[in-house]
Amino acid sequence: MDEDSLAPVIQEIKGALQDMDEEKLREELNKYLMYGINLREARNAIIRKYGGRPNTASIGTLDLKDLTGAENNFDVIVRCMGCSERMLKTQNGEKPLVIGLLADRTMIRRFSSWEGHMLEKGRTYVIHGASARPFRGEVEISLGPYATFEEPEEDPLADLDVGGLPRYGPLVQVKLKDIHHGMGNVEVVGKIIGMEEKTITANDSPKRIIDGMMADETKRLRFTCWSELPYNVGDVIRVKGAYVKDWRGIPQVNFDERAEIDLLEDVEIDIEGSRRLNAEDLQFAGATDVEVRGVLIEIREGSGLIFRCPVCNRALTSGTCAVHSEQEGVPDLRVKVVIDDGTGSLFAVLNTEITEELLCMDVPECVRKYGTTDGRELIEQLNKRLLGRTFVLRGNVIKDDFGSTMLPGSISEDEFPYMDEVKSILETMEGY
Amino acid sequence: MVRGRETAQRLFAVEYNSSRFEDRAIEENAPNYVITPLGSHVNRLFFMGVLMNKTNTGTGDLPNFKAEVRDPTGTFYLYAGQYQPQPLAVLSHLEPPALVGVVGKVRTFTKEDGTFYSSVKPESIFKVDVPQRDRWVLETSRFTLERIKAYEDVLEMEEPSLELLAEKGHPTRAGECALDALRHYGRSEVKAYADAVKIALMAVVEGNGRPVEIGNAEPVKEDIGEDVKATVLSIIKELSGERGALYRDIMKECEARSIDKITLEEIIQALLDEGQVYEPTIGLIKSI
Ligand SMILES: [Zn+2]
Repeated sequence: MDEDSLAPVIQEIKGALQDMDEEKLREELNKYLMYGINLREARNAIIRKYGGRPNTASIGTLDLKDLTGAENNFDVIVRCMGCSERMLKTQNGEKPLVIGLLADRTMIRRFSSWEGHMLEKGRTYVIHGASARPFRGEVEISLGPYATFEEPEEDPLADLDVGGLPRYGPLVQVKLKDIHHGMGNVEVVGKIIGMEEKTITANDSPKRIIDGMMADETKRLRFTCWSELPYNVGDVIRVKGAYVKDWRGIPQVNFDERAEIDLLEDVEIDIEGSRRLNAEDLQFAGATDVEVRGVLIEIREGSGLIFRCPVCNRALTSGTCAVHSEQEGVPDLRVKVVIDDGTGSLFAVLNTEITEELLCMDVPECVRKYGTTDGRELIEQLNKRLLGRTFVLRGNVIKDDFGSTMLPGSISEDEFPYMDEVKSILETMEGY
Repeated sequence: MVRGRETAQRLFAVEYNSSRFEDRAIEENAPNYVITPLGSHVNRLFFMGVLMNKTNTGTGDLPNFKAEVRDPTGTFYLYAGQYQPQPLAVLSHLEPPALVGVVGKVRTFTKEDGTFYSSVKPESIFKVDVPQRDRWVLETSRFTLERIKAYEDVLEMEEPSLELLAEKGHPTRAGECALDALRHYGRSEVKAYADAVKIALMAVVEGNGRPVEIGNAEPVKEDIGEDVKATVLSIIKELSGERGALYRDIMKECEARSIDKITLEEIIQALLDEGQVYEPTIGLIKSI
């Protein structure tokens, strides 16, 4: 047997025994091997001979996917994908717990350590003396007091692409409201309420992905699909094997070709209860038929009475279309506004009908009154009527390179009653 | 990365005016932020209150308004110049006291001794009614309490993180504020802001939808007028070396002629806005 293949075994024996000379161990091991004893038995015999407990000997290097939660003292060759320390309250006071994620070529699993073993994100380790245990229905790697770490000079996982690896844990069925950061292997059922294809650069090559939003009866969440998604807005899909990533602090469902995606043709989901969203949820995503409540804080340029190109419908500037040059414009009304709810800010374009309703005036009347003016008076009217008022907008949100724009189908002023809530907050503040 | 439009932060005057730090952009056109004691990063803000007074520090042709808007907890100081046409137009017609809503951008000034002042450059000003103001107080209270609660939990944590805060049920926006409050202000007392929320909510209950008493409204100040501005301009010209005049020297000279620091700040801002002077580097003012 060549020397190199003995090295890891010698390390294992060293890990199980205190203060043993490596050369001496190599001699011992070679002796056993010469007598025809296999490597594993030889290793256990040496450990026993020097007073170690054989069950403390490593059972060898295991793949993460093969762990069942009962293994003690094994080795793994893994890359740390993230690691953080937190304080946990225990019966004996507070104790620091390190948790993180490890990946090998077979899958990604969680690890934890009460011994303060902080690993560096992105680094590959050979870990000796790990154990596995069941945790919340998943298998977790535990790094105890006997765990030792080697950082190989040449990274054996240098070419590992963790993006496509299956995640730890058994498949967990969740409602969208229960999705949280760090979940590894979830099954969700949701209605696609918005999706857009975009191209990003991954590993120096362009990759097409789908950004969208899905909804169930509990919540609406953004999703990113890293593979083909041959479905449409309005379809109800089941995704088995999705994982969760945070995006700007908001959990987001991710899945790729490894996930099992089905169209549920006979399933209807009532998403009425999850229609209302914060502006922060929509600021960077498109969505269909959602509702936002916010204060109208700005009326933008290009609002009021406008004239459209009869050919392409673009708004004319000084009687000129950007494409079709000078035109006899068709009058129209619209208001471009900013809706802000304190969590985020959205552009919205109020269409002809809504604008007519807000002005209590239709387009022909507007033309009669303001058609020959510079329109400032009309903008003043709109400012007076709209600025600083709270509205509920319902409609679709489209996303482009400049952010999100809502195209409400309806809008209503929300003069919500406030006195009861003011009083109840004051009651809860008695402690202050 | 798409940079979203800056959200109009809801906060009471006492939180805004107690700010001591800013996150100043180095790149041109990148936004500046005032960092409040509760960790809000404020670039744009939205508030409602009583327009207490207004002062025209400019001329008839080139008005420049300074105005004060009081909420139940303190006063927002507004400065509107020619690049804020809508606020200028409103301020030139509106007589205080009046209940107004303001959307504006942060404006900061650090005095020589290091004292930091945060005021507001309005983008729009509009009249509001009492229920609108009351709803603003309610929403602002909710956001303020959200920040206070997250900050209090951060103080309890040995190694606070967004993740731990999320586990405790704090929304990400409040968690981020709490971590930033700790980062910039360290462990500090936030009871004053909880008290402010209480005072504001109590004002709503007491007002019961009626307009609040504005008995303590200060009289509308006389316009500073053109002559003071001309004086300041001549002082700047007088003191200007090759690179300009030191702000410090201008201030001293003005003090001697009983022009106070705040007025001077306004006048210089007005002169800057009008393009009569410019700021070659911080602390230096040069006339054109
Ligand atoms: Zn056209």
